[in-house]
Amino acid sequence: MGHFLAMLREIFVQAWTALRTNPLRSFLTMLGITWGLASVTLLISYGNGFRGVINGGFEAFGKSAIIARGGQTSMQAGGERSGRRIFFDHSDIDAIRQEANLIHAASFEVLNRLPLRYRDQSAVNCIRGVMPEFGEIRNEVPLEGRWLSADDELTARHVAFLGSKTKNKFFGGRIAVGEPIRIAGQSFTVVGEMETKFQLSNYFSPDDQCVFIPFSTAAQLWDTEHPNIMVFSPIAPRFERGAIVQFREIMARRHRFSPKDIRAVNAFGREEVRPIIDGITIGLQALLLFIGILTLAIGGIGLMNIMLVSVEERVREIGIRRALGAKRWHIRFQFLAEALVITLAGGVVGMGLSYVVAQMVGTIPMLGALFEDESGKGDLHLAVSWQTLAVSAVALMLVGLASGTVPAVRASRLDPVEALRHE
Amino acid sequence: MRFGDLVASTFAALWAHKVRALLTMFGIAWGVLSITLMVAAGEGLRRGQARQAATMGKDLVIFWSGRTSRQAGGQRAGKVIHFKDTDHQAMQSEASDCRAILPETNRRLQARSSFNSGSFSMSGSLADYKDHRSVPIGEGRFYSDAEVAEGRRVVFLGTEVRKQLFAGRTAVGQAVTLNGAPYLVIGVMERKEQNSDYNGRDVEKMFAPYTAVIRDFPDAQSAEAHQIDNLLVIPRSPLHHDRCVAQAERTLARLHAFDPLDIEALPRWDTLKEAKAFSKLTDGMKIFLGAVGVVTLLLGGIGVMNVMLVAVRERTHEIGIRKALGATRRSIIAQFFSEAMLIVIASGSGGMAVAWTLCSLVNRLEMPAFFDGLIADWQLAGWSLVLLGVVGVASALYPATRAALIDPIEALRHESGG
Repeated sequence: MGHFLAMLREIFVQAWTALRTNPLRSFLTMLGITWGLASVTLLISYGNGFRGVINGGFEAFGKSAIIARGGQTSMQAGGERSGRRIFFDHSDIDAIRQEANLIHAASFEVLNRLPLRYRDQSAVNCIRGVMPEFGEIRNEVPLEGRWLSADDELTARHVAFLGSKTKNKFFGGRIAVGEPIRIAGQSFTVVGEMETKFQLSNYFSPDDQCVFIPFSTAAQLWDTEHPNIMVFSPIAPRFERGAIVQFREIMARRHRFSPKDIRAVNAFGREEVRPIIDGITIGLQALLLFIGILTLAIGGIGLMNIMLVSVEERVREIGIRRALGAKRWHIRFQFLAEALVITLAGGVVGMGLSYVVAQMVGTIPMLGALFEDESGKGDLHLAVSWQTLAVSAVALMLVGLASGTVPAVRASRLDPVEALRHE
Repeated sequence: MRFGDLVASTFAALWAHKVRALLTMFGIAWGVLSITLMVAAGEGLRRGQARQAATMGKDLVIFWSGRTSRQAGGQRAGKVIHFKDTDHQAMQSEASDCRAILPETNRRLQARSSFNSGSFSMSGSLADYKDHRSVPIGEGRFYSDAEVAEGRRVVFLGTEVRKQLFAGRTAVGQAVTLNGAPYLVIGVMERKEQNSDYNGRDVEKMFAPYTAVIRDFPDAQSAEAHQIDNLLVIPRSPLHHDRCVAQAERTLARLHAFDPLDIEALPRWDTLKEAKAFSKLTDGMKIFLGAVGVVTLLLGGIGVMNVMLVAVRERTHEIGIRKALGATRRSIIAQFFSEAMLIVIASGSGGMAVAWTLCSLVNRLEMPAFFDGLIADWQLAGWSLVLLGVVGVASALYPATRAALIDPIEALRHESGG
């Protein structure tokens, strides 16, 4: 074993010496590998970052939120002609919560635009009357204070949760929690304010620009006898379709329409857009991974090319070594070691390079511009993760071995007699 | 050396080391290929988004009536603005940078045909509406200017409305009653995919002259009978956008006596601004990925240089002999320069051909919404050609000059092959 290790050491020392006799050539070859590794790492990081921002944009709407509205019947059922408008009524929510076992949480939602007043400022603002479950379903995260509670709903408290844009409009940088505001002339207390949301899908108005009040309180401001919208989430995202089916069946029974009549109630979940979003983001990731790996492979081809040249140049040397008793695998090892030294050195530098480039590039503009937000929170942050480095390290080793093996095998197959005769 | 000889010897030299030349070419070809693929993906994303946005209408600003937040002209803040049905004419004459200004009035109406009924949203506007809001005509026609002027009771149906009211039957030429008023169906929309909307999707709407809509269905909630819900403002071109919007704001501010800087008074949806923000996203992508591709191409160039340096070293003896026989420095430079350039040009054009074929193959597949496939345009091709030229010259020049600087005496003494 000790003997083997000593030989291994000898081989790598020799490889190093051989590379140093042609420093410029070795350096240029290494550059190819370095960039190959850096480009795999950077492109994978970009793809991950892109996917993260887009998915985050949809998750801001709720991980798996289904929005249902009353529609109108398009089939005849129960002796009634079609074209009847379907409206939710207050007991529907209890029925859904009790009977639909695939539905995790459900909330009514009523929307309006009403004058909002704080001290001497006033503007017409989007107001949403919602139940406490809404916060979880639609992913409303408080930055300060809290979301609406079950007590707020039960006792119809005059409390409000502000979207971040509305909060900034009225309060600027100050904290709004605890402040009194007036909605359509009635006084409310702010109990919470929302984190900035980079929300890629919405209805009526983005959440940022709304004020949320308890559903029961909304009834004091306007008629909520027939809520326009029911929002619910399935017990897990993959049960979205099943949850919608259950919802339709229960509504069909309670409002006497055919459960097959899809226009009687409209329900949209995230599963409908998911294939599109995944198609784009995963497609881009795959394309970039492919390009990165190929760039690394091309670096490997460059290495192989130069190693082939070096085998050709050193035919005589190989002949002498074989004549002095070197075995084929000694020769094979010698050239493989040279290739691996270049690969490893190039790879390590490449990892450092990708880290430096990622730090220097930092943020690439993405959703920030769409949301007129300068904070860069909705933009793509280029970050090299350990997983990415691991993937590129594996790719690097494969490339190094593959591009080292061809010249090494060729060198070891040389006939020693022919080799000695070579000029 | 004559040009013909130069070409012949260049080919001969490359042919002597076929494998080496081929492997070197991969680097350049891949550089060009990767730039093209990555920038084309960014462009595809941009065009996909633009196409989706155009289903709503291109370069369009929609104004809704709001409530003032500043006081102006002796009136206190908080006044509600109600658009009048004369506003668009006044704006049209004053806002010279706008191509068109259309009033739109929206009502929810109960529609009844002889087969079925339903409740739908009605949009009343001018005849130009179909062009500016991208309403494709499937059957029959949209209403005309003359019908708007006379306030005729004619209606154009969205595909979903037609399905509900007429199922598979012919709709054009049939009568429908809207909240009791008789209207004649003159056309039906062609199916359209629409991904952004306000007031519901167009396929679920009915369209009629606004003059008829405000006459037949006065808005019960407003004191002023002739209420217009929103105004569509269309600039002459994207370049006129800012001026057109400013002119429209000024005119409305004067007509309704509010402060033109009061943004609360005129809530709006600006599709051009949205498109610009989206191009920023795709530009960020194109620049970053393009830069990665450019570095890859540069590295391909370095590969060529490396191999040419090897060639110069190997052929030192040959260079010495040629110099001793009277070859000038220029002819030595020409020899190695043309060899490197040939590698770069052959592999660069090869890479480009593969890239374009790949793009067109990928584009045959069905693309998801928001992505138009890999779009390699001529601009991209132009830039890659320029880059390729620069990389070629840069990587050819150094080995060639190095060859030319070789001292012939030293070179002759040099042993061949190493």
